[in-house]
Amino acid sequence: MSRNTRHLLGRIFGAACALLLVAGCGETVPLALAFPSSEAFVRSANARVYVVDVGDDLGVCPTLLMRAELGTLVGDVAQTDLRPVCDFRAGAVQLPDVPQGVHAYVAIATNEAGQVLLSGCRIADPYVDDGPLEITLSTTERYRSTFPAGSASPMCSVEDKCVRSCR
Amino acid sequence: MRAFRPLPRSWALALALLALSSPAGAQDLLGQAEEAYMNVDFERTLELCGRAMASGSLSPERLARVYELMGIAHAANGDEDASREAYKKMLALRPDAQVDTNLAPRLRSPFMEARGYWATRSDRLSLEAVLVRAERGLRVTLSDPLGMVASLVVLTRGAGELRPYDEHRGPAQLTSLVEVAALPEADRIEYVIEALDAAGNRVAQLGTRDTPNSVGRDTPRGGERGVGGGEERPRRWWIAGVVAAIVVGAALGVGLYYGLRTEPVTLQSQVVFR
Repeated sequence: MSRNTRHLLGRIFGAACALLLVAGCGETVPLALAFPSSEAFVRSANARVYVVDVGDDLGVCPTLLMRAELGTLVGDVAQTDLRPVCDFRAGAVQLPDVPQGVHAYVAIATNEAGQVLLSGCRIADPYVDDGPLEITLSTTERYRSTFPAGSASPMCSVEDKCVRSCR
Repeated sequence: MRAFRPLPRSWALALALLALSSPAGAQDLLGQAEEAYMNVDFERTLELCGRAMASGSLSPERLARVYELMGIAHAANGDEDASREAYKKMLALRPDAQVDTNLAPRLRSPFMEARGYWATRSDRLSLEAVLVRAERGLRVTLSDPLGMVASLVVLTRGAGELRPYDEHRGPAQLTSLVEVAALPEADRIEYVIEALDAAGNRVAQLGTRDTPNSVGRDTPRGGERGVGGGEERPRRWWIAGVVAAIVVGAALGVGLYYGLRTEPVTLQSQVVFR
C-alpha cells in the first residue's frame, strides 16, 4: 500500500469518525426553570424535573402538580434526581435523549426538609417547539404560609448562595 | 388438630368455575383504583380498593397492591391508624416492599411505623407443607401473626395423574393434617395450598393449579429417552437455529434503530427570574 493510499484511507476514516461523533451528539435545548423572584430561588434548596407521558390529555397539568406536591408523581418518561437549585443554575443538570412527542414537563423546588415550595408544569415537545423549554414556577401554599407577604428578605443573594454557600 | 374431609367432586368443580369467573372483575376494579389514585381521588381509591377486596379473587401480589393503595389513601385522608394497619398487611404479604421515597413525609410515616412493627417480631406470614406418609396425609403449618387467613384450600393428586385435584377446604388453623387420597400408592404427590382471607382473596399460596408443588420420593424413570440418544441431535440444531435467529434479529433491530431514529435532544438546565 502506497503512502498516498494510506493517507487517503486515514482521512476517510477520520471523516467517518467525525460524522459518527456529530450524529451521536444530537441537539441541546435549554430547560429553563423560571423562578418568580431571586428571593424564591434563594429560599429553595433543591429541584427536580419530571417528564410525564400525557397521551391526548393536554389539560393534565393541575393533577400532575397536585401529585408532585404530594410526592406521588413519577416521571414515567424521564426525571432528574433531586438536585441543588444552584446545579440547575450552573447548567449541571441534564436530561439526555428526551423522547420525541408531546409530554408534560413538571418542575418542583423544595426546601431542605423536602417540602415543595414552588411548582410548575408545561406541555411541550422540544423536537418541535422553538427556543428554550421554559417551566414557570409558582409558589405553593407551603411557600405562602412559610413566607407570608411582608416577610423579611433572605440575607443572601443568588451569587452568595451558589458561589459562597450562603444560607 | 382437626383433619380435613374431601369435598364432593361436583362441589369442587362448581367452586373452580366460580373462581375462574371473577378475577377479571377484580383486576378491573384494581385498575380503576389505580386510576383514581393517579387522579389524586383518595376517597374513590378507597372505595374501589374495598370493592376489589370484596370480590374475593385477588392474588397475593394484587392484594398487597390494594393494601398499599389503601395505606397511601388513608394517610392522605389523615387517618394514620387505618393507614398503618393497611401497610402492616401489605408488609405481611411483601416483607421487602418499599414505598416511593418521593412520598410526602406524612404519607410515608405510617409505612415506617408498620415496618417498625414487623421489625420487632420474629414470626411472619408463612405456609409450609410436609408429607406425612405414615398418616397418609399432608401436614400444613400456617403462621399468621395478623390473623389475615380465614380458610385454607388444599388440592392434592398423585404426581403425573391426569385427573382433577382432590379439594379440601377448612378453617385456618396453625397445624392441620389433610388426607391425601393418592397415598400410599403414589411415590410423589402434587399439591396446591391457598390461604384465603374472609372474602376469599389469596393471602398466601404454595404452588398454583397450573404449576403445583410436588413432594415425595424420587423414582427412577427408565426408557424416557430414546435408545442411543436419537432425540439429542435435532435438539442441538433447534438450539442453533434459535441462537441464529436471535443474532439476526438483534442485528436487524440495531440497524433499524440507527437507521430510523431522529437526532436525540438533550435538555440542559438553566434558571431565569420572572
